Amino acid sequence: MPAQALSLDKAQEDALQELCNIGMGHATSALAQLMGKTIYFDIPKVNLVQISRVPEVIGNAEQTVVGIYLRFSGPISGNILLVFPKKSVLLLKQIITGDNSRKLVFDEYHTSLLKEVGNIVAGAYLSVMEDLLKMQLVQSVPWFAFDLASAIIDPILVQLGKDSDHTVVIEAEFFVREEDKLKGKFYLLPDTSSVKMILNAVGL
Amino acid sequence: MKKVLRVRISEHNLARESERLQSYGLGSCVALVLWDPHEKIGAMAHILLPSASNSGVRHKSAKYASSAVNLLVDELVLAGCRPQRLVAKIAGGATMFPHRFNVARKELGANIGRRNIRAVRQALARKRIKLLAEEVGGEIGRTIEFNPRNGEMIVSKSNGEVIII
Repeated sequence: MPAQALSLDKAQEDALQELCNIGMGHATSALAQLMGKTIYFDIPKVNLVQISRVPEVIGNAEQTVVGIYLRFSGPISGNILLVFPKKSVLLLKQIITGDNSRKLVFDEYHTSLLKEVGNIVAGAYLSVMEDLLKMQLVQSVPWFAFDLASAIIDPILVQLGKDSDHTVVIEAEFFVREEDKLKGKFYLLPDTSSVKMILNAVGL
Repeated sequence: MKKVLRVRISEHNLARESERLQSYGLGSCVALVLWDPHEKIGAMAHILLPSASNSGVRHKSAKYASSAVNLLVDELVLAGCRPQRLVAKIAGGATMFPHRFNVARKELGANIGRRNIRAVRQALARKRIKLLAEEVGGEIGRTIEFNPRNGEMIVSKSNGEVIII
């Protein structure tokens, strides 16, 4: 596929933002049910950036974080990445399992637990996309990583960088108000060829 | 304070004695450094992919291993270096979603790191450039800094370990 030029006007940016806004509403309520706490989220940001700038957009690129990654496919395809700072991972574990140890252990039990969080959040998000875009999507199994955020993002940029030097990054931060250390970030990076199809599906 | 030049994904840069070259958070990406020990000039490329998927497109780009070596050689020659003096060091090419975290499944993107490493080595061999040292593979992110004064590459792993090659 030839390198495609991507561009977004204001209306298209707004549409993607609103799509993510609704998706995040469902995703955070699914997470809230799992945790028994209210989850808030900030207004999603839509960025059209050069692939080389993605680590800067992701921010905290030099901190070790947990990353849960899923791909989705169907008429449109793309990548979902959830990023949790270390402290949030501990709190998440404490709330879900009641285990109060302060040690980060990534054995099979704990990685499965966090992957399931990713599964639930991404599943809720994608079901909204399916409804709004009137298409069926399939999500992959979730993948777990623990490393620098900028290193974790590499395999996703490999996917996107094959077709383009630019990509759309939609991000939204979610958090628990009582536990100011519990927060995470949700990223949606649609494949280059899918951006136009998403916009077409919402009539833009 | 030394001037530190940051090299982002699919970008490249050139540095002289008083400067440093840096690439942050290498995962499956490979950072390639070519260095002329006589001129004390180094060039770094932050490589994302082994080669362009569309062979019709001839990118002169640091994004691909296949073109990054040629690109750096050209830039160094323009800066007054001799091609026969150039030596190389590489770092990165890790597996970021490793088997130990994703049991009973195929690793994700395990191949891309290895393919990047192999493609860089092959491109260097084609140009008859000696690979002096490497810190590659594994399952860990790396940040590197290169000093053109002495040719040292400081590799800081995400677990806090620091190696000089």
